[in-house]
Amino acid sequence: MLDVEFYGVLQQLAGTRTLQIEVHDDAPTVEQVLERLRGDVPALSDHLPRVACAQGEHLVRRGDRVDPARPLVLLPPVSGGSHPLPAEAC
Amino acid sequence: MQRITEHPLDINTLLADTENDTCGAYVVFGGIVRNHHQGRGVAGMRYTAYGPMAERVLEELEQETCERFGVAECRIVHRIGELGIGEASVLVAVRSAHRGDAFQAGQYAIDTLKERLPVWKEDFYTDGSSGYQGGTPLATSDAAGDSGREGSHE
Repeated sequence: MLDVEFYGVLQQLAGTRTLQIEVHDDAPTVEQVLERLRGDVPALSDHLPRVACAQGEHLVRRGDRVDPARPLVLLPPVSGGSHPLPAEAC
Repeated sequence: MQRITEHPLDINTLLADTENDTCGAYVVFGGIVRNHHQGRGVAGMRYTAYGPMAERVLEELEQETCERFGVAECRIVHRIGELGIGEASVLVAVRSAHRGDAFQAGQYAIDTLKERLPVWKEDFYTDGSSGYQGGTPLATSDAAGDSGREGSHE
């Protein structure tokens, strides 16, 4: 089993902060985990292309192997700091 | 020093922490919660962060800013939790020998923070609804490098 953690809007869409998913590979790639999530939590599907992933302090890329002993953290587009400049606002 | 904090940000603490006798200028940027967003009234805001990575990102950004602009000091603190109108969400302090470098470095630090720091904000609107603000995809997402920011999610 692999723990997946959600932040920001993903937490709202998934309806939970963490989710345990079953993985068949000992060390699946990030992309394989995301593919599994597309099926398990369809509400996340549209957001996954814009999601970055991390384990511990560091980002992991789509082709990287996931360490199943540590949570895979899903990070939606970030919005720290103050409000965006008017030109950046959508 | 904790860079991500639930406590109110204090500009005087930041200035005391960055005192440096070689510097003839300091520039401080403060981001504060305002009462409107995209034409809607805002009553408050909640910031959340992925703590383990956020602390490292800010520490590295401070070092990068000092090296890139040759400034002596750069310190960044970001608030999380629920904030009211007028409260500071972020403070950036830069000290340098001359003002030009400090202005440029401060702008770089806050602009880069908004691209790298794993922090999210949720607006609480005056009509009782709420929504996460859109943002910038981090570097390893499929959409990294896309121009423009996402809109709000409600």
